Amino acid sequence: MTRDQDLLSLLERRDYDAVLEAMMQRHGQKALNLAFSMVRDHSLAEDLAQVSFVKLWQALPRYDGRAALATLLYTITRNTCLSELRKRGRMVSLDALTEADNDDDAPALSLPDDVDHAARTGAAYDVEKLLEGLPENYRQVITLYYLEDCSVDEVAGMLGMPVNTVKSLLLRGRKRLAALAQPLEKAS
Amino acid sequence: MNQETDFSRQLPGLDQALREQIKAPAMDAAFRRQVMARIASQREALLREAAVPETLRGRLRARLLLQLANIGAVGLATALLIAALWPRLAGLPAASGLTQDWGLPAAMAFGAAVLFHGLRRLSLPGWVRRLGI
Repeated sequence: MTRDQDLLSLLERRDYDAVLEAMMQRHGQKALNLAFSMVRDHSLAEDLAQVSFVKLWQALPRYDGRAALATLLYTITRNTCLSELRKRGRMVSLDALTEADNDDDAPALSLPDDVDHAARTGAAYDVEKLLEGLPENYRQVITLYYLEDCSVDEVAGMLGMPVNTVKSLLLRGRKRLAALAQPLEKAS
Repeated sequence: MNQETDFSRQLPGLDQALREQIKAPAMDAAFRRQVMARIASQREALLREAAVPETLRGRLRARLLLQLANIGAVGLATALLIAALWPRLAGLPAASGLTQDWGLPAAMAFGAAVLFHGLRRLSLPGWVRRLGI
């Protein structure tokens, strides 16, 4: 991950607006991806990503350089999204991410009722509907994985998780997704 | 990654659909403008918020100076009082061991003791913390 060393001189000059502009240029899309993977709503993700950048700007005068600026941004974004989800009663427990590792024997989930809508509209799969059939934690990791060009390292850095945890969640999430999609794959 | 190739091989259509259909909103100039506009609207409020602790710190600093001056004055007054009373104290029959020469050291010792006591009660480390020195 970029350490954004070149931004430190701007920080020393207290040019916080310039630091923020640079951060938006470099990490704006990733912050948006992260917010979207958590809230799964385009306009809400945009709003929360903007709030996260405002919070980052407020935090810059106290930034001590111990963590990378990008790491600080992702932490702020995650916390902003979690607070919003909590407010809306859609809390995602990060503990559930590891608890979910023990559900190998769980029966395959049933397909959402309207999943064949995909076939009717011509698309082989309606990914949105399929993802709705997954627990939130798997959905978040899978979404972010595909948004981040299938980079496990990148996803781990953005979610603040060990790489192996992300790999495990991805494997199990895709197993479930495969169970949901198998009938459609055979049909196509 | 083996899992990766396994998944793509077993469910190529699904893998393809995931790659194509998962799309986040795009980061653009409008997004950046909106962030800067939010900051501009909050800047005044943030500056006001930042000014409040500064005012508070000024008041604390003034109170600390007043208390230090108070302790100093009490210490000095004690020393002067002892110095002034010393000839009489030395002349008392009960204090026959005291000599006139001890007047100044005794006044200084009492004054210093009062100062020390006052400063201890003031709790300087607490003030240092509160003032962020």
